[in-house]
Amino acid sequence: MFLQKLRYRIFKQNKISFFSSISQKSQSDILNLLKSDKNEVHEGYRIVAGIVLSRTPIILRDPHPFEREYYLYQQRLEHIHAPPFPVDFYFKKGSVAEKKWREKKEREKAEALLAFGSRKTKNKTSFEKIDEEETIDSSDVSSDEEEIKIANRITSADLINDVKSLDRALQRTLYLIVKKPRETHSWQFPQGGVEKTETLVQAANRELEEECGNCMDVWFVGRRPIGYYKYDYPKCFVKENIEYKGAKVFFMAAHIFAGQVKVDNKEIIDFAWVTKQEMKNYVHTEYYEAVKDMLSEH
Amino acid sequence: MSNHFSYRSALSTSIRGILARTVKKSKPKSEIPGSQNANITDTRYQIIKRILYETPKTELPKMTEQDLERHETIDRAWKLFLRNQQEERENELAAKYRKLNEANLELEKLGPRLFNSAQIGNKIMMFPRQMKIPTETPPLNGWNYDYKPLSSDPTKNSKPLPSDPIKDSEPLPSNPIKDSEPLPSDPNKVSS
Repeated sequence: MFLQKLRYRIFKQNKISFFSSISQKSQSDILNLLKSDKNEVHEGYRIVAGIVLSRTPIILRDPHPFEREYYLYQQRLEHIHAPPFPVDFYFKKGSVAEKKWREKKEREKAEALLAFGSRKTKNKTSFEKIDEEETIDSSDVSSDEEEIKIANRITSADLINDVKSLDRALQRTLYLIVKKPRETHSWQFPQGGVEKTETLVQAANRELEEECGNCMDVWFVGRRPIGYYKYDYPKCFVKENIEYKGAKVFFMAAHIFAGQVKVDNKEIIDFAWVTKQEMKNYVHTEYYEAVKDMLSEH
Repeated sequence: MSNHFSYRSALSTSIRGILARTVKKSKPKSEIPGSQNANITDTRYQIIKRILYETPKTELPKMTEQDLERHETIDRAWKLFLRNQQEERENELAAKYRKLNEANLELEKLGPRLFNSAQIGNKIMMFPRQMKIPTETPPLNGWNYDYKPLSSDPTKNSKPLPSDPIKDSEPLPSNPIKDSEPLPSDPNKVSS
């Protein structure tokens, strides 16, 4: 019963109001007049919605050296103790596939003997090809089969360390941080004030569009905030705006699937896509300490 | 409960049996799979039988004392490695949850409007189709930087004030999933 009442109340709040039917220009005029009234304030702190926009990992992690060794060890044990492979079951006698199979076996036998002989062979055996970068062996591909193209795990963006690129650090989660036109505490997550007619998610969505452009395919993860940060404005700022003494930021989680940030050059002048560890180099230490628990290691 | 054997046919059981046997077409024995007189050149069934019944059992590896000690050390190290990984993951999740909890408790202090609107969830939880799991290698075309929003016309002001981004974000424009579709009709219902 309570849930129904709640839903009805929220539905009423979100109904298209008379205000929005007025033209865009007169809307903004009215808004400027009511500037002090439209923002959510609590106990002198401005309520702000922050956005933790993440690009989740695109490729699987590189295996740990111990993992690699362990899997090799287990594979060797399996090979030694496995029953003989029933060639006649899988390959028809006298077929082309059977011939190819036997040739491959001969090659592997020769390579295996080499591996036990000298450890410094350039050509890795089939045993050691498990977790490495896949490259198509030219001898495996016949003329009639199509060559499968595989993209490299380490991209050009990785090599030049382009922080604006979303192709960098494909194994890690990248977070968007923006630069504000001031000297201290310039790098932070995009954020903006919550208005009295909207919810946290709506405010977050609007602020992200205003600050970073709308050319991004973004999805917000639910309506709950994932983190909270309260800070006081520096004393010089407080003298101008007597009504606010600081801000309470509620961070909303979001994912990006396509597109890129477009700086508006008014509120933000620069942006970067960084991992959790790299963020320390951009963001103020106090901010980082408050924010790091929300972020993923990988 | 109807008794299936209560009716009487025009023909008697014996006559029906004779008729059935004359009509039935029997396969030659060589075509019945698995029979001993099956086609000698068709070795597939023999191969299958051999693999199923005559493969040697995989015995446990025979290890010397040194080998065994080595194997057990490796096993213990692996288990420890996995345990450490698991602990790291758990700690990360615990920290994330702590932050989430703290944020929501603080939000509650601000009043009912913001808090209540944050706590409601969708009846049917849906995730966007673009949310893909990691693969071995990245896509060939790399990241799509040329994303354009659906309604890119700025002059059209038909859209109202920013509505709920969660409800509005359809997985992909081509296949909008409708959760208001009627359920399949009740089989117990009498169809009109």
